[in-house]
Amino acid sequence: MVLLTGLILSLLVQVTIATQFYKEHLNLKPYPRNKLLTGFDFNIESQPFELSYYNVSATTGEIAHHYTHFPSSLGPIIESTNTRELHLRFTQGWWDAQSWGKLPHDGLFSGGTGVEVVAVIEAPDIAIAQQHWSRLTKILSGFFCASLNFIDNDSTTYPKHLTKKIGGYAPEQGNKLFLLRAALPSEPVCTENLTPFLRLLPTRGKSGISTLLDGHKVFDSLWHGMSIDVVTSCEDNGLCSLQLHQTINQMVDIIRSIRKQTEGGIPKPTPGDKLRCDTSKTYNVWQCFPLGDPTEIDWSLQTIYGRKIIGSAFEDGDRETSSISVDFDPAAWEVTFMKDAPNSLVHRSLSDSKDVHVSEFLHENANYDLKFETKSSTNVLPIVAPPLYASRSLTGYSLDKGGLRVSFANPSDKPVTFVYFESTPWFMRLYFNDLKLSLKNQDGEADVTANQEEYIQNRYYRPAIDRTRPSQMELKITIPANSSLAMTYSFDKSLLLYHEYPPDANHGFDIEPAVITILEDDKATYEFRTTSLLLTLPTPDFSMPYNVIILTCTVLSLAFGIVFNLLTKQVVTEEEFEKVSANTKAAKIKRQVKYRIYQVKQILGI
Amino acid sequence: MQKLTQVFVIGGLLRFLIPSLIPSVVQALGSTVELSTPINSYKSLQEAFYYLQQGIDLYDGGVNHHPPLLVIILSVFQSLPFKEVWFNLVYTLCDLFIAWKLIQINRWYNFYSAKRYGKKNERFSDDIIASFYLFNPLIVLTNLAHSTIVFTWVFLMESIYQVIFTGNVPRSMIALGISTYLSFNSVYLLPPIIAFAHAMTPTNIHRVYIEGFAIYFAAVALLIMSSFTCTSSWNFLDQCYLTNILLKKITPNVGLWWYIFTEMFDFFTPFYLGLFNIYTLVYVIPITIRLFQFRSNKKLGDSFLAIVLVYIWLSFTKSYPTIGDLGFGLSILPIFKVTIFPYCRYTYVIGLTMLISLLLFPIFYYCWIVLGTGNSNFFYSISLIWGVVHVLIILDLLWGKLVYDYSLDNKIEDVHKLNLAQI
Repeated sequence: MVLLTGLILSLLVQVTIATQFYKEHLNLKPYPRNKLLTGFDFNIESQPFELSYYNVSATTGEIAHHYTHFPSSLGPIIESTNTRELHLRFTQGWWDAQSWGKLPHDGLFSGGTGVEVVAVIEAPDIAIAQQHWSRLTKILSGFFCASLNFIDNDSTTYPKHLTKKIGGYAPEQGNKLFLLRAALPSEPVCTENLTPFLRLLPTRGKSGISTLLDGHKVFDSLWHGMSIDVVTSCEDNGLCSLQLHQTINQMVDIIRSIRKQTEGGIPKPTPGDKLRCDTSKTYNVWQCFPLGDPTEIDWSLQTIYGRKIIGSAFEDGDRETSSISVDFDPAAWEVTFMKDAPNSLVHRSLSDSKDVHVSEFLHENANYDLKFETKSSTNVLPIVAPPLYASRSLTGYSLDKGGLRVSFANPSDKPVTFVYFESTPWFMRLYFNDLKLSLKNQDGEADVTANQEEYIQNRYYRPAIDRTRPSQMELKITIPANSSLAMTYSFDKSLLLYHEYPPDANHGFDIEPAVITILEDDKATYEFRTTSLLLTLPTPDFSMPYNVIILTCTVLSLAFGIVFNLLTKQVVTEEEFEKVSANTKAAKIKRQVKYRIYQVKQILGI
Repeated sequence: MQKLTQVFVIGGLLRFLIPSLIPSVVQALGSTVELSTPINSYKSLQEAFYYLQQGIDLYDGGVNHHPPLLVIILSVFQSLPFKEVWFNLVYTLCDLFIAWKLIQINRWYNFYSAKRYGKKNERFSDDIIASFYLFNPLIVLTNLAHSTIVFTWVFLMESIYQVIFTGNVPRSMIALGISTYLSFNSVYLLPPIIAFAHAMTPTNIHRVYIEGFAIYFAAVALLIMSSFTCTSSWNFLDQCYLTNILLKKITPNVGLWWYIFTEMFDFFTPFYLGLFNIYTLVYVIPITIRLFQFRSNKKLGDSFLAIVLVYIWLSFTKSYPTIGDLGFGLSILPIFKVTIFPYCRYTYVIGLTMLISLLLFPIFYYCWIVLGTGNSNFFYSISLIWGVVHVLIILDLLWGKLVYDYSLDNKIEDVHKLNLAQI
């Protein structure tokens, strides 16, 4: 978090140097197997203003307009909930760390599957911070068309290791800063979240690089992540400004984009003459061993996004407002920068400079495009391996109990230290007393449960309380060089109440991804998440409420009646019983009625 | 070796060696819903030890429902080497203790009733009584699952024993207080045990009541206060006792509560919670009074039977029952061999029903939870039948007692020839 803040600040410092409150940037980087990583970055800064604690109950004066390019829709939300930092992540897909290496921006702007919110809120105590948090999530829910309103105390956590040094802002006297976090792993991310994202930009997606952001294209990728970060940064003179940093990163499958462009959205079987067969093996009309994807390809931004970049962000803006950069291997790739102005057409090769990182400013009112051509698309810049691989999975096969297995692999030659943050919902009742660790290295696999302190240096665990709060676990783990550590622990699954099950109860419940923060000298250098999990809980029969009430109550009343009779009545012989029952009032009336009927029958002569 | 020693040695070894040699037995049985509930499971006790060790508040979480003093005292064994073996030893000793008390109670009961009714006595011998407890599969399984209900039984037995053999009501009440502290439902046994004490103490009746109640509540209050000082919060009351009353932890068990509250419409839950709690309480005092040994007629009533009946009633109506609860009740019944047993008519039916429901419990649970070929209704239906078994047992015992009382009252030797009814 410290690093994240620092990174945003450093990015924003560049902005202020350019005396600009807005800056946007697009980075393209080809990856192996015809993949492309695109990264959009937008930086917006508000004008400095005097920030004060906003009291909900007191009617303070109206909030001044000091936003300039900063979205005036978001500003009041942030200020009225006393949010000093806000981090929103919308992510979908799975980042294949084995073949793609490190996450963009060292993972600091990539969330886990679904939606994630982290906020630093200023409040006198935690109860008020929770109120602010609740208001913030409810407003953001409407703002971003996401189910953030479902964030409640039973999904909110208060991460410990992140709270250390939230820089840039000092709270008012008597107030404290609270860090709250929640994740919604089952939230689908789609176009309706992108539209509000674009509306935060001063260009509204109508000009500059944001014109590329079309929902159909952004979400048609192997992995994509949107992030929105608002940070308060204060000067010594007491003036503060809000800084907004938005990113969209996506991993595009180029072959798929090309196919979509040529064949349309519906996949069709490849016609016989277009099949690419392995010529080293038998191939004829009937037989064909298919080859892998083609390596000789050419494509442009138009291929991927279906459109070109329309102009720079502002017609009269600074020439450095919009920029675009490419990371590629100039020996293998021919990249052409194409500017299509009304009265000029410029094509310029970016490969001539032989630099692996080339950037261009977009400052004219023209349509821009980049064309990529290569004979061998496998020649890309080397992939940087992440410091750690992690995978988490559920074990067990029954609906009443299970286990979690997290395995960490350290590929490097030096030990890696990280913080493992995991929060599970209350209906998973974790048992940490049977936590088991096993270490695997070149000497083989060994059970190291007995000396776990050696690997887990520090642990913080806050158990879940039913319907009140989730469990929260933060472990500081060190893994020796070239080894992998597997951690397992078990849990029981609770049965929920009838009304607590969602309509598709048998689908299961998503468990939010665990967050792994790599530390180097106690500073976070890289952050990534495991996948989310799907947990199936035992379900009652949903058609049974009335039957259950009826059947259970029948047994209860049966018991009640039997015992009541036994306890209250007197024991007699059957003869006595007959005698007594013959003298009851009811028996007398019955006898009389019988006698009358007999008399009537006599009269009628029947 | 004497037969009794043999029974004790085999029963003890069974409890000690099996879990010591195959530790996974405890784990497997400990997570079986028929044998342990979240309230008394060994698994959550171990998690409580972990909390204690890690400095986490014992009751700031949803797993541990064991009272603080139990956790703290048992955590002593946790720090010893071979901790599992120590636990096995403790549980074994508890069961042997209970068996020993049962033998004593059996001797006393039959001596007492022989004197009372002036009849020849042909009670079960000590070794058979001990076998009924030590080799009762329900009890053995509960013990191997290391369910903490065993400790409750120890103090319950001690409480009864003290009334009989020392006539010391305060000691008995302290034991009952501890038993209540360990599991909430023992509070319902206070009326029958006080009535029992009344029957056992020929003089100074007022003292029994005043002393009994005062010492019982003082004991409970003392335990609760010392728990408060240990944990410095009242959270444990909520986690240990309110969870029982309000059924906060819904997991399948053999009782009647869990499914009705799972399926219940939110709106009605408070009403049914009240109803079920009243239902648990409703026959405690009536049974006590019906079987009260009034001084006017020395031969009628049986306060000891009242305790057993109330216990079976609780096993039927409590929120987190296990099959061990009924097993415990059943293990006491052989004591009544001479008095009530001859008048029980449904033993065969009850035995078969019980056997079938015991067989079907795990099968249907497995079908629902693991295979997915069945659903929760299967398991629920067996828990209903399990409830019916309780009803039949209570019916049979009560009726047997009433018939026996009738024969004593009217001095009829062979009551089997009579057709009796109730009016």
